[in-house]
Amino acid sequence: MPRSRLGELEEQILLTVLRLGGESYAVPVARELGRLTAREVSPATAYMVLRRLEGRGLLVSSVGTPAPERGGRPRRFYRVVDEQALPALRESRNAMLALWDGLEARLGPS
Amino acid sequence: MTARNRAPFLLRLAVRLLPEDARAEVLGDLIEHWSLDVGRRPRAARGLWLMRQPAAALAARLRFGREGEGLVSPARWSEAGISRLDLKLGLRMLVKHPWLTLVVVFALGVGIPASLAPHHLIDAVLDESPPFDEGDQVVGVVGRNQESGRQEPLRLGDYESLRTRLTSFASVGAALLRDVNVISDDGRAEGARGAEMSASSFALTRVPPVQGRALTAADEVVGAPEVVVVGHDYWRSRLGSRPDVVGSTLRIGGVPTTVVGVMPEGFAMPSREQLWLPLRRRAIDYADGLGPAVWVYGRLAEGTSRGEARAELAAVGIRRDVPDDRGRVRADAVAFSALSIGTPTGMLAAFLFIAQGVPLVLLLIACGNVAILLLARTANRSGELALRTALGASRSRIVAQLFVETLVLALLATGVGLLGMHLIVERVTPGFDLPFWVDLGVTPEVVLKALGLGVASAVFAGVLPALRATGSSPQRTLQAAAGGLGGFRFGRVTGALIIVEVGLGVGALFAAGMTYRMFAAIDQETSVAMQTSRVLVASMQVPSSEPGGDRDEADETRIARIASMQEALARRLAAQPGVRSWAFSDATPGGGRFERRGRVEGDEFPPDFPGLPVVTSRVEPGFFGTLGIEPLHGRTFERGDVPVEAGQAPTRVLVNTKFLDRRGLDYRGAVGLTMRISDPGEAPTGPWMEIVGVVPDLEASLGQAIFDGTPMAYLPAAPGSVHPLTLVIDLGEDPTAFAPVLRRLLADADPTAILGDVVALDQLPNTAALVQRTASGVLVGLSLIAIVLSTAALYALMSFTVARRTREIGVRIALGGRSSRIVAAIARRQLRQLVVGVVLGAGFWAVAFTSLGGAGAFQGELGVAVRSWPTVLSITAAIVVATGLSACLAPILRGLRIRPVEALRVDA
Repeated sequence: MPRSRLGELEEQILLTVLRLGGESYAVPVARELGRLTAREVSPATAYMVLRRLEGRGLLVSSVGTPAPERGGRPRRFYRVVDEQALPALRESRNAMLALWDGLEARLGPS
Repeated sequence: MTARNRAPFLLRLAVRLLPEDARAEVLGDLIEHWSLDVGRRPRAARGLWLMRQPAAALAARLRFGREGEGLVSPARWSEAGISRLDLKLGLRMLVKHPWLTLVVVFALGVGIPASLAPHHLIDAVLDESPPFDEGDQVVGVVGRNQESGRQEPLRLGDYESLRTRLTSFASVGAALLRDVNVISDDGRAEGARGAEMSASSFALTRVPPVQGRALTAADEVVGAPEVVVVGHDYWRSRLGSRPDVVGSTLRIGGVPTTVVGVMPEGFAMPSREQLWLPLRRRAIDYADGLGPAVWVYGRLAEGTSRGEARAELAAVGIRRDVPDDRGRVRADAVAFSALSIGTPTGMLAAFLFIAQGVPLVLLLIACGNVAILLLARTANRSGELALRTALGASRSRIVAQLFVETLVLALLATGVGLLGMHLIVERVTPGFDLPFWVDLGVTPEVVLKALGLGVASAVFAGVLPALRATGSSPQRTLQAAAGGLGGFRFGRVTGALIIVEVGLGVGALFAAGMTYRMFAAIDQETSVAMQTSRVLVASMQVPSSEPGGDRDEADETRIARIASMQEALARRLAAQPGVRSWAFSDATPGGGRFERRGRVEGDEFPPDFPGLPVVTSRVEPGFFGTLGIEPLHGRTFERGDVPVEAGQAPTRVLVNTKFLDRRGLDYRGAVGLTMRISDPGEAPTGPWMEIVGVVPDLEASLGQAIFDGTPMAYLPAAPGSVHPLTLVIDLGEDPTAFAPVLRRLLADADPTAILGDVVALDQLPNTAALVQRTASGVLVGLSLIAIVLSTAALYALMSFTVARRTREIGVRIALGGRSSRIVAAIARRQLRQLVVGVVLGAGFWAVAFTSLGGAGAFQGELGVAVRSWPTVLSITAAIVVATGLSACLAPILRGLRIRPVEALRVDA
């Protein structure tokens, strides 16, 4: 059981990493999240959230090779730790489903 | 991406707000996103995205920073009661009190950047790392004289002996600076800053070329093909940004050289260079066993500190096989910037240290003044604050609100100040040829420091007065507020601040006035009109014809080449229509090359005393005639005065009036005397020369004298004896139109010669004018700040006093008190502070000028200007007094217009 529930942005970014194959870095995460949610997230924000998630044991990171399009700076790749991340996401999903239960008719089609 | 790490400023600022270990990676992410995604958006959208990044980074750190890493969290802010409403109120106060806003923004907007500027300038120039990847690991390696501790350049032999023996360095490189002459396809010769640089230098910097390749070790082999790597600026300005430049040929020093690479913009290793040739070892380099002086630098090995590198250099030592030099010099690691600028020591270091502290004192004074103004404003609201307290607002809540109001002011002032600083730097720095690693611009670090100072100013000027304003019990405050201003009193500190500001205002205004008077007097001392608008001044060089530069050419050959060029150019000038006369010299008119010592026959100095300072310049016989200057006494040089050979000592000399003034000699009587010149540190044993003429002070005539002019001695120049050369040509109208003609004539005379700056005489760079303008500007600015602040403070205090004593004034008027006595009662304290400040400020300068001994050391117009100090001081004091009185006048008149009935009704 994770120490505390995931925040909204933490959850969205963790899900985005999963969608990107379970391993990614801040730039495509921010891009994909913006595409799916119409919420523009700065790569700096995405990076800090990824780092926070790593601190909570939900991700692990590794440093890639420097790239010229980044001014010679390396990328930091984050990979999902299934044993920690999936239970946290399930809990979050179940909580949301419990809240949504019975309200579909009220909301109508998306 | 360029060598200068040209990520947009806002991205660099954004990453500075993040934890240090995340900055490099996040900057990479932002650059990638910026170049690949954001770059496709419209310009306005790109700008908006950039502007959001610092806020996004700060918010991300606040929300998602690891425990203990984040800054103050929004939760903590809300506990203190800081909310958006406070910000709104703060903004409203800006509008409600426009004059106060203006004064505070002025005071802090000048004070904060001014307090940062010295530290920023010193930081940007000294102890600066080059803008490379992990640039702080790139350091300079210099020689250190074991006896004096002074920095000395290392030699090529030192570099070769060190580079293979050091383990604290991952790599070591060297560069031999050399101006090179590049001949274009149409035969034009142009100079360029270049260097022979080791191939290891390119790898050491980790900056890859944007085209082609960098130099390699194979290029350094003697006999290898001649190759060159060019800089981005050179490729753009001189080679027309040709896409096919790699593989093309340049004639460098007459030698066909293949361009093999182009470096990115901003790369100018080791300082300002734009052409890089292989550093090759030649036997002639070691004629003295040491080789030429080179710049040596290296990248520290991973995990190695500069201290560890210094220890290794000291232990490893330099191996010099020259008997007189063994053990004299040891190697040392210094900041990369110290290679060109050196490390300040002694008095200079102390001065720089003090220079960083002085503006902070001014900022403190400005903050104190702002505190007075804000306290006065807060005093006006004491009733409101007391009521809020009575209704349940905590003291911390009210203090927080007052702090936010001040913070809004301070941040506005900081923004205005930084914008001003940015505009000034943008305007001024293009005029300076700075090394590539110097960045005087507003950097993220400067912004953060300025914001920090802004917050600190808000705390000092806002929180402390707020605590004072909220210190009394609400009931007492409400009662007192009914008849006055809540029992506030301004203490002695306030009075002392006013006195200091008034004194500073008098002092700075007087200094500005005297500076203006003295410089104007120096200008008036121009005793001769020069035909400055008819004369063209051109600088030129004759570089060595050998690929290795000057070190490959013998002295005699060189002199002969220079003399041949002069002769060939002179023939062409003689045949050119419009050219009236010309002459070569070793310096521009009014300038001189060498600072030496001069003695006149019969002077009273001891025999071994080398003499008083004199600057010498070598000129051809027609020099003064070309400038249209007649000698004041005697004559100028004739052909017979010129030494036959370049190395021969002259027997005739000309001196200027300043030379004779310094020695107390009569102008007419000086002709016929003899004098000798010696170099600094040498005994006065040079040959005696006859003074054949006295000429005017050219520096003053051109308005270039900073203070009192320079004593000059002119020596006749033999052909080939001066280099680099200055050519003065008398042309008539619009001399600058002759510049292209001169370039062609010079190319015809010697295709390898390099023509430098070509300007009309009246357009010569005028350092003196710059110094005068800067000094006057700084002093006027300081006096303006001090006077505005003191005036505002006096007005605020007087207003506060009148408001606080409304009832008392009403009673006095009702009892028939005379206006003069009422004014005296109201204004006594502030007027006393004004008078004391003026007396102290004026008294300081009066003592200083009196100590000069009646300014007897200054002659002529300058002496008249200096002796006018009592008048200038009186006028200055009168201005400051009048300004202070006018500040007090409105509140006093307001006080006299108080109607007793209304004043007494306030109490009821």
